[in-house]
Amino acid sequence: MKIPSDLRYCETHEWAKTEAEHVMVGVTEFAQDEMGDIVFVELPVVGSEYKKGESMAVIESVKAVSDIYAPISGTVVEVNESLNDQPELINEDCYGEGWMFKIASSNAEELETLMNAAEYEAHTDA
Amino acid sequence: MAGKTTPLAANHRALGARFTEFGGWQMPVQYTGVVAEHLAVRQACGLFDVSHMGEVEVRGPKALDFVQWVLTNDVIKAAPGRVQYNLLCTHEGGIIDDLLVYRHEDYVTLVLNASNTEKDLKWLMALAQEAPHSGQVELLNIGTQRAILAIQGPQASAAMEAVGLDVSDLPYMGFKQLGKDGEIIISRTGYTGELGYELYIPASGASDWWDKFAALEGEITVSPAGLAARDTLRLEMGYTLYGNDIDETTNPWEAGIGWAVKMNKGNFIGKDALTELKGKSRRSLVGFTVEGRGIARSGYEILVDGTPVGEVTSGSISPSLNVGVGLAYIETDSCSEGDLVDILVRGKPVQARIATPPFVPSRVRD
Repeated sequence: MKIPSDLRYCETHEWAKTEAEHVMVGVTEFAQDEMGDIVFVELPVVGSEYKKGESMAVIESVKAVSDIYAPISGTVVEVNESLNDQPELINEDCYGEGWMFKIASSNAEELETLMNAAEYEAHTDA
Repeated sequence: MAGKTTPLAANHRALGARFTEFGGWQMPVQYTGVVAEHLAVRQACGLFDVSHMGEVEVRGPKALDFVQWVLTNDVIKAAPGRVQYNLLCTHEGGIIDDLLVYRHEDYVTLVLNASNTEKDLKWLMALAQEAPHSGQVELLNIGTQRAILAIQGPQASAAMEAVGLDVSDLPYMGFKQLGKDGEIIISRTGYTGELGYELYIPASGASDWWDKFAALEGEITVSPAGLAARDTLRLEMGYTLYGNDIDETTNPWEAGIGWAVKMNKGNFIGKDALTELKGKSRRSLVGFTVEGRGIARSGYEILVDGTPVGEVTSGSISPSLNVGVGLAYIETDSCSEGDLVDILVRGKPVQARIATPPFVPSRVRD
């Protein structure tokens, strides 16, 4: 299972990547594999604000509905519109083409509270 | 994981299957992925392990009288060698189970939903003690002695022939016995809406049969398919699933399976109640296709002009159509075929159209 070392991770299987002015968010390979074939994605509205831990988006596989939670607090600045027509991008490339949204962080320290790759690996093994 | 395992558990593990608990059994839910498995059945051929289904033989001098008394459909109308869809109902007309009856010359085999097998047996055992069948009926639970494979899809006949099973003389809903003691049963039945067969074999030989199908290559491709694909395949046909769309609180009329109740066959359990209920259903099971963005799931509310009229009982995406489809109970006459309704998806109304299944053409008689 691929767990890139330059990302931060949540217990609920989101990843967060620090970019120049915002944080990019998606779900991990473990999460997409558990969900199976992803067939629908409901993305947040650009400009909306979320607190860490709040439900921001929904991913539906054939069988199940999964909430995606805010890894950090902030404002949505961009969403991956391609997922509306190609939700399967999350299965195919969850750390690349299958990214979900970008957040302008309102509390930079929150990112440091997330797990690193080694901690996340231990979390998924447990 | 808890649950009984089928004689094919090792075959599934070797294929990297993911398992789930279903009806007290540990069953393969998917191998490569539900969408690929679903489409393989629609386009070529899928191979399912359905050994979890319950099997009860009803034998004895009054065997046929007994099933005619406890079931709603007319078993006498099914000639030996035919399979009949049937219902087991309570005295109040609620559905205890939906099942298949395999009619032999002087006995029948009932094929039951896995989750209901114990309950059904208990019900049947109690009834078999009563007059006039007492001492004249024998119930044999043979489910664990056999495995059941389902071979489903446009290439199913070719796959059967390729492993040496002649199916050229089998009509839809027909079956035949093969082997020295008739220990192999092939029926032209299924739960996918495709041309297909179900193969009943002794548990000891199940693994070899599975491998024979799975090893086919060249022009015939047989893909292992799990319970997740079985569910989306049946939903595209609008076939009801016990526990979702029907149960003891629903009757055959409102569930749209009243055709399996024969009021003119003589007396049977539930007849009085079903006579009383006929034509008076306050709710009806209907199909729908989602036209807005979203997937309607079991339990989601259905609205007409903002007023709640019912609830989804089965809902998922149709992998063939790539839209949400499902079954729902709605208040009778609150809407009709072709009408637009709203389904509340996470609190937001999403438009759906009432439609009569199947959502994808049935090819069972091809």
